[in-house]
Amino acid sequence: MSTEFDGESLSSRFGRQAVTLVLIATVLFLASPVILTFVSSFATDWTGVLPKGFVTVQNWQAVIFGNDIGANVALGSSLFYSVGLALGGVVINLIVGVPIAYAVARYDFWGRDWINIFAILPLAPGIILGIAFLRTYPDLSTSGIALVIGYSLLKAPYMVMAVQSSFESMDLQQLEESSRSLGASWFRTFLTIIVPNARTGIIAGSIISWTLAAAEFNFSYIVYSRGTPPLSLFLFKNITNSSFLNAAAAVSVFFLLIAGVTIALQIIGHQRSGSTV
Amino acid sequence: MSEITLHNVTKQFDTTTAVDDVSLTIDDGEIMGIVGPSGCGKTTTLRLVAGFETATDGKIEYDNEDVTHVPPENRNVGLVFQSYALFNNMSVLENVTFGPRMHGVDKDERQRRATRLLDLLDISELADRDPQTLSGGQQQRVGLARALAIEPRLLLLDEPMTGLDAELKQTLRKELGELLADLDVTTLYVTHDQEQAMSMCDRIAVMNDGIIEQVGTPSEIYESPANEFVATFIGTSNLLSASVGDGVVDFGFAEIATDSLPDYDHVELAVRPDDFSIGDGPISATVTNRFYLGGEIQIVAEAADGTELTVEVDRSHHSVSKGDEIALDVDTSNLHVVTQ
Repeated sequence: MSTEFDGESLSSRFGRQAVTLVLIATVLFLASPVILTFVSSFATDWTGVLPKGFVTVQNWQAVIFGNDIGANVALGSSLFYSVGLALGGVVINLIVGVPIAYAVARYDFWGRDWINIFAILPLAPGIILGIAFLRTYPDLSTSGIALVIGYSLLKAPYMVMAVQSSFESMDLQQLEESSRSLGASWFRTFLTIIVPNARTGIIAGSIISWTLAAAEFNFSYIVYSRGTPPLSLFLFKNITNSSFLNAAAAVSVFFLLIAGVTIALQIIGHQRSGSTV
Repeated sequence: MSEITLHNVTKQFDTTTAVDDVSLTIDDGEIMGIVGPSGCGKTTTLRLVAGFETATDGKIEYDNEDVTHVPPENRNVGLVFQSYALFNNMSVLENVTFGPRMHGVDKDERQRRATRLLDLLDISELADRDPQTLSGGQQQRVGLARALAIEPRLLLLDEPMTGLDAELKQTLRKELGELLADLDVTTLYVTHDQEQAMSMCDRIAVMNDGIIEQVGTPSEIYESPANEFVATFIGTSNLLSASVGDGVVDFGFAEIATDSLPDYDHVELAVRPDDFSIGDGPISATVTNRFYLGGEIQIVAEAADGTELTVEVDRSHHSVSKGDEIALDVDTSNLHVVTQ
């Protein structure tokens, strides 16, 4: 009889299904390259639409042990080198980023807004920062130190933003004051109460900044000069000098590593980080 | 337990004086309430006592020991906040034993204290639970157990029941009142809820604009408010201008005989709504509004000269309705002079 609610009933009947369909289509479109790359790493040929010639581990062997690929180093050493460099960046971000995020979330002080802006805005692109590093510290480029510092600077905003959002969801002042009234010093309160309560943000920030640092290409390309190449450069050389299937295996190893680290950190994050009774 | 004394304490933030020359003594084992509107300085006073703020001027003593500049972690003060501020990275038991651990209490004693307090607060079964999974009432009990576990010299409660539903608030008010009386711990209870303060505290300090307007027992504060602010903030009061002479109070709209008031040319008198009686009396008024409050009925009436009177009567007067002409009387021994 009435047409007033017809539009609403149409929307309520099909709205959710339509959104779900669009979501599934988008996720499939975005995930397909990753899935196909992983699957093709076990194939002998991918010249057509889909990879074929399953199942072989030759590509993985070639990548992991370094035989018969374009780069003259094995993935293992490059991978672990990058993991270590990115981890170094994360450690620096934890030491510097967590207190900055805490200070910005907890206190009102002169220059707070500027610190906040510098801490959360990725101001310099990797390529620019890399050139600046080479000009300023030419000797550092031969070691991994420049890469570690560069990664920490480039990825700091992700750490600060994630941790700051965790801090802002708590009543920091009351937590801190409760702990101090119970006899804990400020430093002990920070380490045993504040930081563990922000562990979700700290873990999220660590995962994001580590993952992005481990795969950082622009800065690595400019700063790296000799020795074991970072993973991103290793992959680049593989892709340009070797078969796509070898590169697919190399990328797959990286995917698995990221998935493993993410799952491990999530498990740690969900455990109660309490102290003794 | 301790006696806590504030000597002329002032706290200034830039150009704002949050606490202005406040002097107050909380006796050993006493439950002292601080009530006042938002921004009156009650929480700043609590923070000064706890050590989270340092007085701009004046001195704070615990048992005659000057603690004005002693950091909070060395004051041995138990603190319960409105948000409870439980440590979500620890279990309930770990929360309760945290304070004793920070004070270097050995493990057996920590366990003994925690077990006793959890039993006392009837939350033993929650010992291994994550604080985030508890209800508001349970969290409040854990917060209290945690604060009491350090065997504090002073317990500070900062609006600990705000945010709880009315029924739970009433239950906890009763339990907390009994517990504090049993433990005999010196307590400073800061709240904007005068009803809670009246029912739980031995004495109450009413604060406004950084100063203490009146300190007294709940009945003293209610029955004999020191000034207009206390009269209107604690409960409801009718503030009526009058003159008194020859044993008669002249309100302008009515004259009532009195033998309890001296002569005044002009005086402000506070009359509690429940001090009026309805049915017969010299005050004629027209009912302009009527509110059914469950236990009683609140009537707003307008006297002959337009003065608005708030009256509370029992449910037997439920038939009174808007527009009715009523006659009121008031026992002049219940009139309180607030401004001369």
